[in-house]
Amino acid sequence: MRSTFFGIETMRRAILSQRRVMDTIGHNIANAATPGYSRQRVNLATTSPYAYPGLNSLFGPGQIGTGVIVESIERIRDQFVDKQIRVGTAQQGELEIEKNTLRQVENVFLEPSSTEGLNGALSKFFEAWQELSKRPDNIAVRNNVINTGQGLVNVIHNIDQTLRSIREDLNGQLREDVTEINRLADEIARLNVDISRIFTHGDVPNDLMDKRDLLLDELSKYVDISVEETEVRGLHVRIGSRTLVQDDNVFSVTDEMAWDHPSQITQTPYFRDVSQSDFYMLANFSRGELKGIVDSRDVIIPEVQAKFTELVRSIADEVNNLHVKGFGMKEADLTPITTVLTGAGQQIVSAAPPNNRVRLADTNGISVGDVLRIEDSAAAGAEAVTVTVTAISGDEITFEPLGFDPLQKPDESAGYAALTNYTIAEGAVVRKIDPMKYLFFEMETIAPPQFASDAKPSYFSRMTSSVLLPDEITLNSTIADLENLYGVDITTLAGTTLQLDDYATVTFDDNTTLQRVFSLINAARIGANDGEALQIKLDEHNRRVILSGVTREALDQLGGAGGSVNSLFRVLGFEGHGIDGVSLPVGTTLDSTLASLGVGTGFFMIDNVELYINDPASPPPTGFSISVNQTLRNFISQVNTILNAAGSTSAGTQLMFDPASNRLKIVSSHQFSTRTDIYTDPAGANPQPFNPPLGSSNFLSVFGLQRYADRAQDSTAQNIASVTSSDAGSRLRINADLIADVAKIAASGTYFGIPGDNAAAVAIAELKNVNVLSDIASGNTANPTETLDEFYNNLIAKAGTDSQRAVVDSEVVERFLEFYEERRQEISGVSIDEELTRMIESQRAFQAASRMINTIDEMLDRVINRMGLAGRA
Amino acid sequence: MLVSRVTQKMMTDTFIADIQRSLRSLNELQRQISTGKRVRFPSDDPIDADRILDYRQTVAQVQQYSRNVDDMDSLASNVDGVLDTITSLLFRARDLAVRASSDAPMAQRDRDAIAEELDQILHELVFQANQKFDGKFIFSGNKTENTPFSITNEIEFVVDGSSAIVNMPEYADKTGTRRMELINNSEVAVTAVYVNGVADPAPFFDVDNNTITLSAVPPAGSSVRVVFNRDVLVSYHGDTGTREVEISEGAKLGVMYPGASPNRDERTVFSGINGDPKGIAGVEVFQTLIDLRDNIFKYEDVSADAQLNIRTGISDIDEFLSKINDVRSDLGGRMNRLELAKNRLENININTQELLSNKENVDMAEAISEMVLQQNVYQSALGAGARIIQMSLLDFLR
Repeated sequence: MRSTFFGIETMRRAILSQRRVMDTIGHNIANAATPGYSRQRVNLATTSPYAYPGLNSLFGPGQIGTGVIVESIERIRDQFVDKQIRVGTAQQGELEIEKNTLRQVENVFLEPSSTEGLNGALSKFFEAWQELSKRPDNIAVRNNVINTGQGLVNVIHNIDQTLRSIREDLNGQLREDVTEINRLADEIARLNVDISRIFTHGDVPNDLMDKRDLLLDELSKYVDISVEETEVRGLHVRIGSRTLVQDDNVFSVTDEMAWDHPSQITQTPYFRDVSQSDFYMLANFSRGELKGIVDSRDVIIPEVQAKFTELVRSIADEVNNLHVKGFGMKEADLTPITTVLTGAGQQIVSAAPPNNRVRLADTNGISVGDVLRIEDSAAAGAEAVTVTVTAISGDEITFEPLGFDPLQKPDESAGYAALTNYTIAEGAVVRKIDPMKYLFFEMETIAPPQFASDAKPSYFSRMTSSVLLPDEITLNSTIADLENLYGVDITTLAGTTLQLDDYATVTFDDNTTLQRVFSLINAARIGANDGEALQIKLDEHNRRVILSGVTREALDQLGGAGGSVNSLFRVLGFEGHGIDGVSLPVGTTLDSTLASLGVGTGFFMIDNVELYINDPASPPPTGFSISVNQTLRNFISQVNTILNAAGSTSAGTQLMFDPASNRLKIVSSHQFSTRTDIYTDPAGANPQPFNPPLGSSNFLSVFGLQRYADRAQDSTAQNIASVTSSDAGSRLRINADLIADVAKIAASGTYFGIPGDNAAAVAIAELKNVNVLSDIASGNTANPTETLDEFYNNLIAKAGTDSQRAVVDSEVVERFLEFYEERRQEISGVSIDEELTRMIESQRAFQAASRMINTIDEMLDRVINRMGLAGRA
Repeated sequence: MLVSRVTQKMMTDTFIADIQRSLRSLNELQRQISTGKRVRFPSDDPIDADRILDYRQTVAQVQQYSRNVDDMDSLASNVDGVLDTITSLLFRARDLAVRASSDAPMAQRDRDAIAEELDQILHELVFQANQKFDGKFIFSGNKTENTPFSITNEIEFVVDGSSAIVNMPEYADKTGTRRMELINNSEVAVTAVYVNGVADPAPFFDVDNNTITLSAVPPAGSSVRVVFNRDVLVSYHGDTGTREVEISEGAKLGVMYPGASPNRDERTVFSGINGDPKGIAGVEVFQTLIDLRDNIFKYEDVSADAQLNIRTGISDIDEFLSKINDVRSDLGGRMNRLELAKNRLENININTQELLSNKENVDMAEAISEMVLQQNVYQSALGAGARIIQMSLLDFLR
């Protein structure tokens, strides 16, 4: 039997439920324009009907409904769309940065809309030389050469500095982004706590979840994230494989530089692992603003810088090469050499090189590379020739004439032919000229800074090896396994004894496992006197070796009293000195031959040791030699033997292969602080010529080890993974001697004091049409295919196509995002019309329910008050 | 894709995005029209940007070559003008010499007048040979700072001190060696002889043998300076340089000729230098005129010898004239080349400018009609949007 007030109770529920619906509609309308808001829906359900059917049912067949109840309030949202939007946002963030960078790069060059760019400056510079070729004795024209040259230098400085400042700005932006990422991560963690708490109480905090989703959208602009929901509605947010937020834990990202990652010179975001305060792990991110910034900074701009630097170097080198062969208007300082031509060797022996030679009384004071003036004063007309000494043998010198035919470079046959017509008579006087004074462009000299990695702290509590160990290396690996992987013969190089300090030694051989070596070191308790004893262990998860509880002093003692760290430790990456090469072609192994990697024959230097790579056909004059057909493994082993030979000043320097990063590297226990430590200029010329003498073999450049020199000079050190670059652009200037005295500009091709001679000026003016550069591949400079102009045009066109591609890409992503944003709105957006309709629906339901109560009330009134007088008097 | 549920925010968002796109293209068109330039950044059209730079470089270079050609051309005209004057002077000298050598009876006084005129011609020729163009001597080769020809009345040379009899210096000519004439008559005479700067009190002149007998035997290595009352020596201070200038890519051309050269066969204006081991060098053309002058002055004295000398002189002048003609025809050829180069450069310049303008400049008609089209799109978008986003159910609820 149902109760008297059954209907009223049903309607009460209806009224309350409709109120909830109305409230939610109000909430939806109120948030129609709130970003990140997803519309909410009240799920209504009928309550259990009255009553259960059965034999004892109180009244006849059928059940009576008991009304409505609010089951839940849910937000309407599609997680798939969210994911797509986050992917798109990350891409957009990345492309937006790249687009801006490329646009800025384009803007740097002011081409093609302006004539104030490098194109115009270069044209004006060469035009000035053309004018000089017409009036070589005119001081005003000479001044114009300096002024247009200065203009060119200013444009070059401007471009170089702007490119640098774009890079620096990117570092600032990186810092801002990293701060923002950490702020968002903190907020997400806080929301995780709140949401989980509410969830465990059985409710769904729709609005907090909306807020959190919005934060995730924001975060995905900076970096690509993957999101996973935990059981209690908390979130696990990852960047790549690393966790950023897990429930209430935040693993913040930092852009600080880690000193123990010498290869990472520039700022790169790292994770700071809270459990290991000084351990940094490189964050790997594949999209987002961070990726855009790091790519722009370490790839896009360095590429442009490298091309630009190549162009600047070419301009300077080519002009200089011709200019040093020419002569100014006035007599130069000549060093008289008291030597005269004598006897049978008085004439040029043969026209064909290398037989241009004369015999002198003596060759004191003459060395190879000198420029000599042979003055044949006895002959009618008193003529003279100017030559460069190419070899000296006894009292005979071999020379090349100074020629002015850049179109015939490098074959100067025309010059040789001209010289054969000239007979140097006995008694001719030989004088030396100093041509270095007459470089047109020179480099401002700066004090060579030290390697960034030289800044090793004097005390540390924990040190991580800079080398990522390959997966093959475990604690059970033997020394021989290491040797095999790195190409370094550890036991041969440094012996089988690891002297730990004055008394303790650890002995190992090729078959000793790392486990054994480590436990021997740990047992020796090195450095215990200074504090904590040294502990060494392998962090198998992060593939690095960790030293802890030692001072720098104790580490030095690892190698014994000499302070030289054992080869084993160099292999493991505890040496800060040295240089990483570039990544080698995929498939390169220690068994690749030098020739297959493109190494040519010739000499090169590592740490003051001159080394030769030779053709089997032509044996070397002196020193160490290896065939180009040797494998990398044999090569490394032989180079190391030479470097570490008894008594060598380069002992402690070793060449090795890094299998994890697939590159060659040089590590050393001492530092290469100056350029000359790495390449000794054979002639010892001072001032330094523009190009350091890299040796005749391309070995160093093939492996990217020549950046030694660049890094030693470059105070704003570049990222090692980027292409070759130096600050040639900002340090270029015009020889101050020439600015002070324009008469010293070399327009004359024959000698000083002939103001009307214009051969050098013509040759320099002609440079504009000479192929001096090549875009095809590095190392192909023997056959240049492009003029300075063409090279520059290609550089501009490349910047243009890159920028165009970025614009198109970002438009594509924009469309993609627009589509999914629309899709999200379609699902989660609030439609006012819809809400209003539902409002009316709900309003009517509410009114109807109220009316129902009235009706039931009237019915009860009838029963209670108006049912006649039955039973009543 | 058909959207199944549309919300107000969707419509406003789409509206904003569309208007933005429309405005972007309007903005770009407006920039193109107002600057007249089609390519502002290389990314606007990388291929054309490359071409524009290329054309600009070509134009700059061609204009420089044109300037070079113009400069060379005016220099060449100037050189030709001077050579023309020199030719007529030499013709006049030849006429005079022919008249002086004729057998027709003529008083020495008349011949002296001819000789005087030859002396004037000599000086005029030196003046012409020292002409400048654009502040530079045109016949001094690359030694542009030196006045190429100097004329003097002194001959200075070194003697070995073996005897008091001193030979006049010898010089080389086309026939071999020749001793310098020692003349001593009323018109051309030695005024003084200095030995190491000290005047010889009583030198004896042997005109026939061209020797001077000094009062005492001079010490070895003494410098003997013979001073005449007229100019007797023209020497050259330039070199044999011919400056060449680039007139188009890889092509160089010079229009300068050295005044003289030790090598007689070289193409020079005033022929070879009569070199003397003792360091005296007279320039052939001038020395010939001086010889002619002197021989006409002394025509009566040793008539047979002088007549022969005058005839040799006339044939020498013929030879010089033909050499100068060679130079002038060579110069003519070079001027033709300059003319051709000039025409060619002008053509390249015009063509390249046109190509540059095609690539670089906006086609206004096209750009403006495109802009009008975009404007219409923009206006209709605004109109439609303004109407649609205002609509709401609220307008119809009481």
